[in-house]
Amino acid sequence: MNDLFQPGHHPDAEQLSAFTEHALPPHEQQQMLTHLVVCPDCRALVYLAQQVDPIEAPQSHVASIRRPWFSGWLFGWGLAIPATAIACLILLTLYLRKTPTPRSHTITTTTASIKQPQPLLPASPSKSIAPASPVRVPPKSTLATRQMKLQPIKTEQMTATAAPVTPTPIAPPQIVQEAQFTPKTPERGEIVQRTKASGGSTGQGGTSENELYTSLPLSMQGGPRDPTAFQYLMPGVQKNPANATNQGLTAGASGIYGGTGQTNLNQNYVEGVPLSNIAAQGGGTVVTTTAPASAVDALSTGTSAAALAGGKRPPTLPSKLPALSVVENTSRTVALDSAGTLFLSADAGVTWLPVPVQWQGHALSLRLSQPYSPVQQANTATNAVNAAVAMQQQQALASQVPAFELTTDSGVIYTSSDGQTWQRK
Amino acid sequence: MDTASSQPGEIILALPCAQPSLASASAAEDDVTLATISGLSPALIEELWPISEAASCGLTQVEFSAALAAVGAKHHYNQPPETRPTSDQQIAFYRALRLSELALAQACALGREPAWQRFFSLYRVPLTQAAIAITGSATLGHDLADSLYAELFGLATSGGERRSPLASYSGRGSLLGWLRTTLAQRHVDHHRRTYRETPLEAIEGSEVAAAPSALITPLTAELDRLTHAVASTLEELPPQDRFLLAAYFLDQQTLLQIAHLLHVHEATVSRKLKRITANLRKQLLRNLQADGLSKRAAEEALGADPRDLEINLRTLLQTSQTQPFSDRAPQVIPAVTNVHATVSNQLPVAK
Repeated sequence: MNDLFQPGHHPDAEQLSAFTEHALPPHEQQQMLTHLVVCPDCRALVYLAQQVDPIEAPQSHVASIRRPWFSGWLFGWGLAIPATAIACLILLTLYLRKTPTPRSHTITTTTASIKQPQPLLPASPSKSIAPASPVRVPPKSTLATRQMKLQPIKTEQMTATAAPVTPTPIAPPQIVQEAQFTPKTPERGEIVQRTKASGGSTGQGGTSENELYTSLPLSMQGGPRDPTAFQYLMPGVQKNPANATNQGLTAGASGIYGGTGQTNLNQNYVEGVPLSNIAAQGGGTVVTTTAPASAVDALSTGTSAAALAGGKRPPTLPSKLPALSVVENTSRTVALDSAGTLFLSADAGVTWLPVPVQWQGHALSLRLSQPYSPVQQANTATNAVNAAVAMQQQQALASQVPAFELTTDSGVIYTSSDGQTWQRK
Repeated sequence: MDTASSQPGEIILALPCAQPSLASASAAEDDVTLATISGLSPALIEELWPISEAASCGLTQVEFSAALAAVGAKHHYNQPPETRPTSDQQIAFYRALRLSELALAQACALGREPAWQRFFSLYRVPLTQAAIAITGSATLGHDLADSLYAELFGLATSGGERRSPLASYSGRGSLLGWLRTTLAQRHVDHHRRTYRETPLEAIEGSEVAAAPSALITPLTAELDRLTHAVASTLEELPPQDRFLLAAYFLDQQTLLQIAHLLHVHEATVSRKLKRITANLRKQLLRNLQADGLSKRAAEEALGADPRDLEINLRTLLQTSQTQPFSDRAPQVIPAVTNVHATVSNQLPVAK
């Protein structure tokens, strides 16, 4: 006789199973709980009935549910999505590595070298270049990417502000990606990439097309391009927000870093913060601007090529602005900051004194005069009466200190032997 | 008395049923017969009949309606005993039943061949799996399942009449759940029979080892007071809280198992246990103070080393003042197993 399941004493199997399946009415549920508290046997039954996982399933059932290893969800869509993502990532990496990133060393043209472009960077691309403080230069092995919003009308405004420069055979900097709607000129170079972005969230619904060129245009709006017109496209350059607004560009969300804090300075500021972001743009089409590592070199060279080439730190000028050009001869150093102010130092950059403006227009770049050519001097001395005198003149000229040359935005060159007094060449 | 027999609410189809002549009777006579026998309206039967798929099991409409009526009367249409169920409540009860499984079970209990074929095709594999899971062995599981098949087929007779436990299935829960519970019952029966056949020395050896610890600890007045306070505190808990404490602390069930049993989330069980133990400690402090102890003395009593105490917590927790199922059976105080549980292991308030 079973003493466990006397009728009326313990709930029957139907009640217990209904309790485990929550199918009992509330009053019976409470009765069942009350009984289970005091009855360990019924609790054990409930626990046993809950054990539904077989320890060893019958072989026939296992055979009936066996399926090919690849037919399951795990090996179907479960792995398809991450596998596709990984494949896309690998293809993108391979594509970016195969994208031509020409490295040119004629980037001294940003300093308006008119007659003969001279490389200011070392010939070996593997030579490390210290970034100009406070520049935070991305690694050269990777493409620096920035995001900015460009719209057609704003691009026109941007190009309209380019200062006219005398047409010179300027060797352009490296790849800079621009937005569509900028008139394509033959001087711009070869298109190496064209991407399209459609949609837009501000209701415009337009489609923007980005083109990647090997070089910047030589002429803009019927005139020569301002050498610094597209400098803000380079990684690490922050456009002055107020100035950017004046030029029709959308200002960045971040403030001026390393500047004076003033506005309307028409300066480019160097930092590692992106120029703009989506939130600051108001939801417009975002254009990705990409510059290769050589553009970083161009930026560094444009700021302080001589100091960088010599392994020196860029000078800290009294204006607290970054130096566009630093030129040094045997005794003096002349630096031009981004505002066009010229400074002179007689103690190798320890102290700087501003040089009064003696030229017309905006100073763009500095350089040393061409080294003395003995051949030319010898030719000029052919008519000399005394060859010895001619040789002395040659020696005197050879020992002459190279002069400084300053180029303005109108293309006029001014020279100075001491950096203090300037004369038009 | 065997477990499988004489369940309290076993449905007895004392009908002139299963007679093929009924099926050939006229429709009007059938309606009158259905209404007379089952008390169900013909419209309701016509509504439930196609859902049940009873015809494919070899069950007639009269047998099906009689089974429905028996189930409704057995469970009082899921209403409390003191209330009188309305017709809407009765209809709602019938519609909530698992009609197809109920029809299958009733047809199997009546020995219909199509029903048994369907039963084997549907439940043979899950029943074997459940038996293996319960016994923890493939061999024992197969044996258990086979013995249940024989029992379900109605090998046992009572007064010359074949009786099947499937007749006690009411259709409130799933038929598979009922089969699992029945398997568990048979497994416990088998375990108990085996346990009773165990040599006496083996049983005494284990009990003798635990006995001295209960005898050497004298019950001091403080321990009496603490035991009384624990008992009164546990009695004040609602049944569900006591079930949680019993399942977690006494039966060593995991939070997940309890959550599956109560159809709540595992985190809910954890939160409830935490709340119950916290409230239990507060109530225990109050009860100790009500017994004359100061607050500091009550806290010191609760802070006593559990190893110095010997409280039969299982007895305290499983002793109930309320009698379940009092409306169906004479009130019998259940026998409490004589298991000594130390406070350090199972008393949550002592932690």
